Amino acid sequence: MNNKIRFLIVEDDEMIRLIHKDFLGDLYPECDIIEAENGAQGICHYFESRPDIILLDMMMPIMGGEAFLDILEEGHQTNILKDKPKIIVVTAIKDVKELMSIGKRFAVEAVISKPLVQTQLKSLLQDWIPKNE
Amino acid sequence: MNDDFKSIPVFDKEKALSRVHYKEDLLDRVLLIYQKSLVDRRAIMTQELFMQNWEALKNLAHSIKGSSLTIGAEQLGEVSYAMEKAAEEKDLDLFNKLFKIFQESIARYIEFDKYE
Amino acid sequence: MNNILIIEDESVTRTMYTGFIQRIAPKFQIYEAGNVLEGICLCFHKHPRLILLDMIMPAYSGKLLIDIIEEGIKNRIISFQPKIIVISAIETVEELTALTGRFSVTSVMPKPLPFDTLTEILKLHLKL
Repeated sequence: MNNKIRFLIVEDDEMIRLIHKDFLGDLYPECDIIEAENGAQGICHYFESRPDIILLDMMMPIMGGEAFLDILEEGHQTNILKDKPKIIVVTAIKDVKELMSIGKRFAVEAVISKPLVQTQLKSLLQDWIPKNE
Repeated sequence: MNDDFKSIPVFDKEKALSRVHYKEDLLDRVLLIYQKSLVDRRAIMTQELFMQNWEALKNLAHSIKGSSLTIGAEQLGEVSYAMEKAAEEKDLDLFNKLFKIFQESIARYIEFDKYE
Repeated sequence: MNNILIIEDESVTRTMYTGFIQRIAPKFQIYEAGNVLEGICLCFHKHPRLILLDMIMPAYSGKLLIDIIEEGIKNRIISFQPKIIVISAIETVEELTALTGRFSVTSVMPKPLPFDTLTEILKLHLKL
């Protein structure tokens, strides 16, 4: 990844968004961070800004993470979307089968259970983003 | 809910601090947001319970569970998980009992001195 | 951009609309989507001026597109606002009220849509 890293946080809980944003801002002070309160806003931001990495909650009002993933997947299957972001699903879902199924979805690189353990997120991100960025 | 529930911490400050990388000012902001959202969601839940809107109740409980566990409000996390399950089963009696416990837990959380 | 987007799962209906619109509005580029997910992607990719939107489709209904566009506009994330013409077999007054109450929906038309009505819609909203 070159240039400024762009993150998109799709999460309906304002408090959790704030924690994610603060953490990412500390880790990558030069990055752009975009926030969305639900999947519908998330899709708008995705198309407008084409973020590199997305932190995606699953259960949200208006539109959830499932529909968000479905739209991106359809976009790629129909060749309308060419870029492929890296999606980290951060969810309070506990059902193992459901979590495994989410993990197999298009562009989903990892599924992390809430509450998010930031060392887990950090080691994922450091695999993708060189240290000096 | 029994003695096991009462033994669960109302607020685990150490856990809460670890989530915000030990930044006290960030924790203050986060706790303010959390408490406001708790009160708002309780009001919405009251309405949804009156209408027995199980999908909405399940989603609300799920949401509260997520943020409560994130911020170390362990009792609230526990009871909202139970409410989520009860809403999935559409068990009105159980949900009503849990909702009462939930409201008591909110009161305990609000009264709890989070700054000691 | 002179684009029109048709979101309709029935391929025969889609083809009929496309063929008809091509004759009435030859300067417009027409895009088709067989489901609302593809429709959403095309909407963001092509910024159509007008969308003909079926509501009842498998998996996701047309409501998904409406929800997304409205969230985008309300929160100033997107700057384009297509005219959305819902074409649907409305069965109840509640359904009709729910749709006409949506700020992003320009008109609600019955299915099947007569071609003279479609002509009037296109003339009105595309200033043909």
